[in-house]
Amino acid sequence: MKKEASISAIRNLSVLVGATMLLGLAGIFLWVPTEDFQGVVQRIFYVHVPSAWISYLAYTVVLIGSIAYLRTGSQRWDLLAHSSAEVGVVFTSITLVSGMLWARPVWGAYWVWDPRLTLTLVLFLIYVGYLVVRTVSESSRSGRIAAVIGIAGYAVVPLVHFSVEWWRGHHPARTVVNPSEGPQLPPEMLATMLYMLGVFTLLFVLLLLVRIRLGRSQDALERLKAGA
Amino acid sequence: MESGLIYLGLAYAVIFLGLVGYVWSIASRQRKIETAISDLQRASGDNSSD
Repeated sequence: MKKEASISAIRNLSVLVGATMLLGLAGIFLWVPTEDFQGVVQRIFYVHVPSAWISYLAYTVVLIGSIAYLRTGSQRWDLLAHSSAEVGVVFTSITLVSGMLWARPVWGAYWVWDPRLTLTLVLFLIYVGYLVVRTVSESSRSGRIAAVIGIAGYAVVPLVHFSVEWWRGHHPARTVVNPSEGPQLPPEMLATMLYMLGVFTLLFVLLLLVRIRLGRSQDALERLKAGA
Repeated sequence: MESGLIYLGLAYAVIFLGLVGYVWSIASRQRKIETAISDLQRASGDNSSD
């Protein structure tokens, strides 16, 4: 009964994500005006920024899950952290790839060793390392090592976020939420970006639920094998 | 401007394919596990009936 309810929730959320994503894409390509300086390529912004923010969210969930796992030893928290790390790596990959494809026509290079870009790459590699630790060994010791990586690695998140203010580089300063000057975007661009942030948040929840379901099935299989 | 359109198309295509690929990989792993679970359950049912 519980399994059927979970499948039904995933199915309903998939439909919601699909419908809201299509509406968002229509907004991006049909409603938002083209930016004067960069032209059409600026429309990468509407997926680049939300995916970066969802990476932060995913790694925050890893942090919470890892702390709770170390304190309680409950496999549920470990599964939450593990699943969120995997989804976070997917969103960080999207951030890096979309950023590189945006940088090429605007900066003339796919990659520059700018503080924001470099720290985002470091963040990506830390959580890839987290997943490698999980893949190499499924013991509870590897769970604890991964939890420590998940907690320590989170220190890079604020560094990534504030790097554009602390160090000079190619990457533009915060344009969406700038505490000193307010939003720096025209209303249509800001509304579309915030809408896509909502869609990406739903997508994150959907992927997390699907990944947790997979983890539960893996645990069930391990229990069956142990009992056989 | 024209090259901008190419990079824009590439970015959205890569994101779409990446997300579809990830969902496909989860679904594929889920299918394999469910098959293994049902095989084990069938085998344990056969053993108990013996």
